[in-house]
Amino acid sequence: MPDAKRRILRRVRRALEGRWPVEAPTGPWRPAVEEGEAVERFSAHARANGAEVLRFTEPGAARAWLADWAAGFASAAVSPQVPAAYVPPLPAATPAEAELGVSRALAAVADTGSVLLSSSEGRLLQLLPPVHLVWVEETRVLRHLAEALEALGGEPPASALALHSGPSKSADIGQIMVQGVHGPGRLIIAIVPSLEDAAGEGKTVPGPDPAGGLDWDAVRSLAGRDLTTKRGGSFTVERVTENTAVVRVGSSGKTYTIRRHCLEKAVQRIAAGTPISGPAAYRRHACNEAPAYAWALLHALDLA
Amino acid sequence: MAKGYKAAAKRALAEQPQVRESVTRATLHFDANRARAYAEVEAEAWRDWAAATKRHTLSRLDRYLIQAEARLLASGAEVHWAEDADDAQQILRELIDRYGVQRVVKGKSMLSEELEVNGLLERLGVEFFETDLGEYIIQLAGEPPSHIVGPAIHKNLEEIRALFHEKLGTPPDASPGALAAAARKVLREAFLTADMGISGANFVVAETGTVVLVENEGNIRLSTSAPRVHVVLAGIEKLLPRVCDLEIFLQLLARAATGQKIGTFVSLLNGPRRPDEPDGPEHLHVVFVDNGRSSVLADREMYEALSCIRCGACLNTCPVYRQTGGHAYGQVYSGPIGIVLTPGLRDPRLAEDLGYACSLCTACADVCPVKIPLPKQILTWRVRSAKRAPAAERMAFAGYAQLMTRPRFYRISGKLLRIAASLTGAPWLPVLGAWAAGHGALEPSPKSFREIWEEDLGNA
Amino acid sequence: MRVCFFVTCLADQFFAEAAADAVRLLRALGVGVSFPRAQTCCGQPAFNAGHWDEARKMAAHTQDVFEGCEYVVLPSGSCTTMLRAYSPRLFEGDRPRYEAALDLAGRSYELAEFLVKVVNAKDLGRGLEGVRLAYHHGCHVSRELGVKEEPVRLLEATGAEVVPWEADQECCGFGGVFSVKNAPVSLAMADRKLDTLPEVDYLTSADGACLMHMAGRARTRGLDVNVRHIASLLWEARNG
Ligand code: SF4
Repeated sequence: MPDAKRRILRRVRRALEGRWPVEAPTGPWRPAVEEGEAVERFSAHARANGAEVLRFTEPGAARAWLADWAAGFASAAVSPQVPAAYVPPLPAATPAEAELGVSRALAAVADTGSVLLSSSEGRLLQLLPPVHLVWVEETRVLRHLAEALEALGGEPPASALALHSGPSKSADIGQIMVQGVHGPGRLIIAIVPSLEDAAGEGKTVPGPDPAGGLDWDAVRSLAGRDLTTKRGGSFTVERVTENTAVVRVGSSGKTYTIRRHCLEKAVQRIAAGTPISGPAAYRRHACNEAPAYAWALLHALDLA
Repeated sequence: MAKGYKAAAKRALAEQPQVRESVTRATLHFDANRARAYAEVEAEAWRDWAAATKRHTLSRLDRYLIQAEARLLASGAEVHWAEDADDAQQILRELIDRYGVQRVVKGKSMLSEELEVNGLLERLGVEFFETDLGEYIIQLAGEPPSHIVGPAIHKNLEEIRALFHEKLGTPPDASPGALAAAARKVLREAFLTADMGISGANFVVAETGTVVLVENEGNIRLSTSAPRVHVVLAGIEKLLPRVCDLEIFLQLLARAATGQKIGTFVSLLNGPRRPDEPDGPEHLHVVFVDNGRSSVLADREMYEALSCIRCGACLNTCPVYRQTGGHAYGQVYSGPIGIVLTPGLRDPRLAEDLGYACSLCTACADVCPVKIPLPKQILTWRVRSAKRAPAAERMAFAGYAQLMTRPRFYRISGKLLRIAASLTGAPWLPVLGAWAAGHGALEPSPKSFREIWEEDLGNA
Repeated sequence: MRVCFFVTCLADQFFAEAAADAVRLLRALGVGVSFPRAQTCCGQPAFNAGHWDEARKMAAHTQDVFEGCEYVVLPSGSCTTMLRAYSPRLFEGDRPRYEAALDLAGRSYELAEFLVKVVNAKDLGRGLEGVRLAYHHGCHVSRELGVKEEPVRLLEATGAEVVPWEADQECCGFGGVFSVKNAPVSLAMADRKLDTLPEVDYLTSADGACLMHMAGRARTRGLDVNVRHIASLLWEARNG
């Protein structure tokens, strides 16, 4: 429908003609929710949603529990992001066959009793096995949904994030609640002090980030400059606004917009010790948004 | 067979008393959960905020659509635009051809009903499965959904048992758990072998191009994770400006719909599977659909209805809906929001019948999470269609107004009414006759208040 | 204190005694009552049916009749809502009439509401000791005007027991023209009310039309339900 877009937008504009735009309510508005310790509230809410919640204060206790509990299953599909110490001692199976799926949450949300999962570990292992075990680091238990959604704010870390807030359920048959309709019938959330210690080495999981670190004036000074990408493609920095840098590619004439937020994120990662040595790393650690050109900008500023 | 709500409602009440029973039970349950969940939070403030955010989005809809499209494209999705159901079907047909699709799994989507996607798939010989349990039940039964959140609430356990026994061979007295397991088995196979998943967006975030899908069963996550291709149908009104807006909308939607804190599974999708991800669809297509929405937007007395987040709360609290369920409305959208939206999306003349599927009790206005002035809008449809009302009705009201602006005539008529009623029970007036059929004869007071005043009270 | 009494057309013809009781009650509480003779109908039936030209005529007539009254008191929740919330909408294009509508809205009260908010009547007399009542909240007065507690509080102060009723806030199904246009649904709605009605001596309400509807339905079903308008009950409580 080549012209459909134009026609739809025209009709929308005509509909709005002569009307005052309605102001958006100011700011993201934080709903008033009860206060209290995040982990406790999270546990209470997740349980009310039908999840089972375990909290371990000692890594040893968590591993001991896992060894014992996992004995009840024949096989597991485990996220590559779960540290070895937290992988159940079970034969690996595909998500379709495994009796147990094991995930590592990016975050948990106290207000709603949800865990935030990423497709970077695989989606099907979160959905197909009848039982789903999710490890959550205590410090990743956030109070509000918005704090978890910030993970999406800059550049989403994966193609599919999901909030799981209990076992799969339906009351479609005569209003009688049935669990495990399509997704897991049991959701077990295990909270541990840290998933890094036990793994021995730190594995970074992209999560909510504070902003900052990049000298935006330095980026502005690039306006009008001709630069090259790592692979040698030439492009021009057309303009730099308050929040974006726009580049034009020499060969195709196409323009790309690079957001300040993404560049800031990359700089921060570098400052935290994660080297960003090329577009691929940029995409992984910052944003999947014109990574070749964004990286070249950082490179031109001697930041990457 | 007479058409329209009036006839269908009458028939349903006479012929299918179990529908009224099932629907009343389910909606009372939903409504009570909604009330409890609202009471836990500052629902009034949430609703005001959500209403304002939606009105704002609508007032800038063109810009947000353009922004959303750009972000979707950047994430690797393909974006399509459909002016109406024909366009949308055409787009789907092309995608089905392009990817050689033979099997489709569908997540619950009212827009898909609007676009008659199932009819298209049937015509193309593509095998398709509704994967929401309620939708699957009615697919087996060959019926359309009767509620936007609980598509099968008009069916009781006995009916579903009989249906599954016939279609899936489950025992005639199978438990709900066993019935669900039977459906799960069929559908699990479907998820793993389908080439395409079709979903209906709950929200599309303009800022990031994030498609948001909300559900309780996990079927939508599966439909959008297992097949190679995922097609999202999104009404152009589904936009939200910012990611942070989801904080309220996700919680408000769940509280309004079922009283939950949040839908059990919320998918936040940004583009197709990435190279370093183990699974997920290789292709993501988003179809923005107008299908009458831009005309509703142009209607200044109705445009707020485009704020609707399809929570079903207005259906659950509607005493009229409870008597008949959704099928009697004969439209995709039923209940209060159906009355308001359908004439605008399809044909204003539908309001002549639908406008009266309402007692103007105003209960829906109190529950709508985005504060759509539903009763006011229903009344506006009545005002618009009153001009085309039957001549007898128009004359009756004209006469009534004449009478009521002439106190002396009014007084005499009161007397006549009393005499006539005492003689015959007054079934001679068409209106009074219809009334008397359900209520027995009218019984005017022996003396009007006016007479009592004159004889007694006025002298005090 | 003086009030103008707006009996409303339906009460005039069908609940005349209850309306008279309202007047007696007001007087017993020291409120002077006058009755502007030219009054007829507030226009709500036409308003709700979408015939706004007609509704406008009746609403304008009503404005004229009650001009200059300090208070207008009605023994009907729904008609009060017409004056207070709906009537101004009829005159959105007509400044003087619109302002007159708002002015009238500011002076109009449903009976029980008036007794509680203006007369400040707390106890009218305990003449209903031991009587069991079910109170039906008329949709408009309870939802649009928020008058929910006042009538119940007054009834309870008479010694009567207002019995909990799960459907007390649900629409009875009357809805004016709705009860004629979609009669079967309207009656099914009344059935929901009647089928959940607890064991009581009287079913009462501030809305006579709702009572007529439910009582009529009960009669055709052969159910034994006694309805009484709240004004009569309150007067009885006062009068012994
Ligand atoms: S109109 Fe309001 S209450 Fe009804 S479905 Fe839409 S959002 Fe929910």
